[in-house]
Amino acid sequence: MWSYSRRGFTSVASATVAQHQQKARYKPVIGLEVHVQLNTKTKLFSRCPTTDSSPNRRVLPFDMATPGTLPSLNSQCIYRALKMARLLNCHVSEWSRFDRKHYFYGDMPAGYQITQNHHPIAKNGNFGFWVFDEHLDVPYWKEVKILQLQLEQDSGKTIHLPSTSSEGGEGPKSLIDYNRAGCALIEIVTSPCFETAIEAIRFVQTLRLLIIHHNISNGELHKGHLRVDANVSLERDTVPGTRTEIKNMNSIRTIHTAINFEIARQFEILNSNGTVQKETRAADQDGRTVSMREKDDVDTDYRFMVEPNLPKLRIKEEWLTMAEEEMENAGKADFENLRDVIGFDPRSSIHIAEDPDLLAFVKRCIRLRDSSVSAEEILYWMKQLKTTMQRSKCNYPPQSEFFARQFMTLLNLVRQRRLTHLRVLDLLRYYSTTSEGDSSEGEEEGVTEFVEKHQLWRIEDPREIERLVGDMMRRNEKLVEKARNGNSKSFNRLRNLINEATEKRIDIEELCEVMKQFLDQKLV
Amino acid sequence: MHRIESAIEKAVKFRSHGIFISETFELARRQARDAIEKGLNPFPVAVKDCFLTSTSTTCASQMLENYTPPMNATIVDRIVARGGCIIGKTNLDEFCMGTSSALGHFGPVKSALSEAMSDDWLIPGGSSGGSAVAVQTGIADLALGSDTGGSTRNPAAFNGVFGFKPTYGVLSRSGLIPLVNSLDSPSIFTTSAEACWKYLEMLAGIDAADSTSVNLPEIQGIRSIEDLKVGIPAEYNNECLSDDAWKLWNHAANILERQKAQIIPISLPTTKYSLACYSVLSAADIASNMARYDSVAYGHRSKMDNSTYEMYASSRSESLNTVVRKRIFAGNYMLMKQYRELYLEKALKVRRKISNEIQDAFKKVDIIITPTATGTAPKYSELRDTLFTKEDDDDYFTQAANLAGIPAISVPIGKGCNGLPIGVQLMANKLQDKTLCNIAQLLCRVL
Repeated sequence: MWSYSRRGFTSVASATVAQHQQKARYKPVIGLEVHVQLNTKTKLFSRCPTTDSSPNRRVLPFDMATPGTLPSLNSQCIYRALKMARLLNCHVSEWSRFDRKHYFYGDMPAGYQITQNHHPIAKNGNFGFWVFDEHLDVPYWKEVKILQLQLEQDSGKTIHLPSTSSEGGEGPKSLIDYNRAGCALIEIVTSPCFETAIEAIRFVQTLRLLIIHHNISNGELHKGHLRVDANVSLERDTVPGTRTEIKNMNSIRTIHTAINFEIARQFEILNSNGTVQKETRAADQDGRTVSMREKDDVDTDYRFMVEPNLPKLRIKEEWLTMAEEEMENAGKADFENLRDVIGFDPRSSIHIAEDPDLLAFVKRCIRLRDSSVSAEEILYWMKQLKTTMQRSKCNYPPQSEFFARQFMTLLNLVRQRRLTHLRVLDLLRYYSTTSEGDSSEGEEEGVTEFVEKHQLWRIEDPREIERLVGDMMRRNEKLVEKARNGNSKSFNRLRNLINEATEKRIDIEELCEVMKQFLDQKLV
Repeated sequence: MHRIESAIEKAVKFRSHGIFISETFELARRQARDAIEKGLNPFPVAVKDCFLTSTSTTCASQMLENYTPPMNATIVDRIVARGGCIIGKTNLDEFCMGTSSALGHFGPVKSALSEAMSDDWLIPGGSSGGSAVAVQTGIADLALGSDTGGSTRNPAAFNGVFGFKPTYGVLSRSGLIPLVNSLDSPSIFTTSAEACWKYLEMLAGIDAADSTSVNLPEIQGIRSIEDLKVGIPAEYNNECLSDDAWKLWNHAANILERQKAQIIPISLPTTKYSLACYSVLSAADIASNMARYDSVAYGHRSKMDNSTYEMYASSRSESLNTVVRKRIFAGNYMLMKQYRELYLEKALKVRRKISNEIQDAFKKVDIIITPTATGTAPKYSELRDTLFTKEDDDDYFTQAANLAGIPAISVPIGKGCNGLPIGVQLMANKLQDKTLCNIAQLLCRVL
C-alpha cells in the first residue's frame, strides 16, 4: 500500500508523528510537461541553422515573424517525433495538424506559437522506468501514461537588465535574442500519475538518456534542452485538490526540490484549513516555488486557431519504418545494456550512464570482462577504487585503457583467490595513482608481471600459513598472552604484524582463523 | 528600355492620383539593363505594396511606414527574372482591408478615369486600387495585386482592365503580407485575357516557401465557345445590382449564346451567406496575423513605453487605422473559447457549403458568369455618406470564388450610361485557369 513517508518527501520538513498521520491522508498528484529541444540541424519551420552563435545571428526572416513569411515543416523534426512516439509507446496519428496559440511576449515575435493542440502527432502512450532512492529498500518499476506528443516552436530568450545606477544612467532594459526562436520542441504531456518527486525525476532522467541515445535531442540540461513544467496538487481521500503549475525547471535537482517544496507548501496550507490558489509558480535557485503571475492568468484563453499556412501532416508508412529502423540500428541505450545485459542494478545503471567519464571507464572494463565477473563485483571494486583515489587526491575514474585492463585483471585474480583482498587494494592504489596520466603504456608493467616479479601471490598452502603465523606468535609472546585473554587490540596488532611480514599475502579471514587456532592452542 | 522610360514618365504625370506609395524608378532602370543583358524584353510592372520587396513595404500603414523587409516575395523575384521592371509599390487599403483604396495612411488612390480633385474623386475600387490604375493609365503592362474577397476583380471592373485571381495556391503567397491566409491569392492586372494567362505562366509553379502552393496541371485549354456550358446563377441578380450591370451581364450571356454556347440557369442559394461567412473567417485570421505587429523587432514604436503592454497597446493604437483595429477586435472575440464554436466553427461549415455548392455546379457547367460589382465605380463622397456599406454590396459578387478557391476573372465588358466601365466575372473550376483565360479571350474577341 501507498505510504507517504516511504517514498521520498524526506528532504523537506521533518514531520512529527501526528503530522505524518495527517499527511498520509493527502496523496500528491503530479503531472509533467517535458519540453525536449530537438537536435535537428535547422529550425522547425525555417531553414535557419541551429548551431550555437552570438545573439541574433541565427535568425531568418520567418524566425522574427517578418510579415508575409510562411512556415515550411522540417522533415527531420517529423522523424524525431516519430522516434519519440515509439520510445513512449504512443499511438501515431494518421494525420495531425498545427495550431496557433496566441499570447504576447517579447521573445515570441509572431504573437503566437505554432504548436499542436487539438490534433497532435502522437498520443496515448505509456512509459516504464525504475524508481530508486536511498530511502527505498528496493527499486520499483513504474509505468506512466503519456497523454500526447506535440511538435512546437521554441521562443527566443529575454534578458532583463536593471537600470544603470550612475547619474544619467539608463532605465531598465530588456534585450531579446531570437536565436532560439523557432527551434523545434517536442512537448511530452504525461497524465497526472506521479506520486512523488523521486518518481518524476527518475522519469526525466531515464527519458533524457534515451533521447540522447536515439539522437532525438542532445539532452544537455544546462543548455535548456529539457525543460519541465510540473502540475502539483494534493488529493484527499480521492477528492482532487487544486493544482499549481511549476514552470520551466531545467535541472534534476530543481525538479526534485521544487516538487517537494510545493507538496509541503500545499500541505501546510491545507493543514491549516487554507485553500490552495490555482496559479503558475517558478522555482528559485534553492528550489522554492514562488508565485509567477496573477491567478486569473492561469485561465488565459490562448484563442487557438488552426495554422492556415500548413497543410495537414499525413504520416507515411515508410517514415514510420525508417524511424523504426533507425531506432533498431541504434540498439539499446547504455543504461539499458548495463542493467539488462550486464546486470547492474537500476540505480547504478543510470548513475553510470549519466557520467560520461564513469561510463567510459565501465564500458572499457566490460569489454575486457570475463563473463564470470559480476556487475556487483565491478561495482564493489569501483567503490574501493573511488575511496582509494579520493584519499590520494586523484581523479576518479582513471581514464586509461591500461588501467582498465589492470583493474579487470585484479578482479579476476581476486575472485580466483590468487590475490588477497588487501593486496588488491594496495595494487589498486599503486596503479591508480601512478599509471594515470602516464601515456607510455608499453613500458608499464601489468599486474601479472608485477605480482610475479615481487612474488605477491596469495599464500595458499595451509601449512605455510601455519608456519608463518606460528613464527610470529612465538616472537611476540606478550601480545599473544594479552590476545588470549581477550584483548582485541593485541589481536589486531598481531594480525597486522603478520600481514606486514607476509606482504598481505594471506587472506585475512584465513589468517584470523589460523591465529584463533593458535590462541586456542589447537595449534602450537 | 524605351518602354520603361515611358512608364516612368507616365508615373510622374499621374502622381496626383496617388497610385504609388513608393517609386522605384532607379531600380526599374537597373532591372531593365539586367534584363536586356540577359536577352530579355524588359516590361514595366507595378507591385501592390503588400508584397515584400527589399526596397520598402508599407501595406499603406503607419505601422510599416519605415519598414524595409529582408527579402522579396517569390512572385516578385520570378517576374523580375523574366524581365519585369518594378516601377513602384502601389497604394492600397491599409493592410488590404477595404474596397475603396481611400483610407490608407499615405492618402487615397484616385481613379484616372476622371480628374483627380482634392475633396472628391472617383473610387478606383480596392483594395488593389493603385495596381488597377497603374495598368489603366498604361504605366504598367502587369500589375500585381492580391485578392482575398475581390480585391483585384473589383478594381479591375471599376477601371476597365482585366483582373485575374487564379486558383488558390497556384501563385505562391511567400512574401505576401497576409489578410486571410486561406483565401489570399496573388493576382494579375493587365489589359487582355491572353496576357493574364501569359503572366500566370511566368509566375506559377510550386514554391518550397509556401506549403500550400500547387502546380498547375498541363491542360489543353479550349479554342471555341461552341457547346460550352455557361451557368447563370439566379442569386447574382440581387436588389443591389444596377440596371447597367444587369444589361451588360445579359449582353455577355447573349454573345456567348450566339457563339453556340449553352446557357444554363443555375442556383447558388448559399452565396448570400458568403459575406457573413467571410466577415467571421477574415476577422479571426486578421486578429492572428496582426498579432506580430508589437513594435518589438520592427514597425511603429510608440513613445508610451512605461510597460511592455503599454508599448504594445499604444504602438498598435497609434499606427493602425480604425478599419484594421475593428477587425482585430472582432477576430479576437470570435477566437475566444466561448464563442469559437458559435461563430468561427459555424463559418467554416458555411464555407464548406458554399464551396460544395459551387463544386456541384461545375458538374453541370464549364463556367459561371456573373457581374463583378453592383455597377460602375462610386464617388468617394457617396461611399463616405453611406458609411462604406456599398463596399459590402460589391463584395457579394466576388467573395464566393475565394471561399471556394476557384479561379475567377473580371473582364471589361462595356460601359454604363455614365460612361464608366463595367465588368463581368467568369469563374471556372479549380485548376481550370487556362480554360478560364481562353474563354475570356474568346468572349472579348466577339464583343
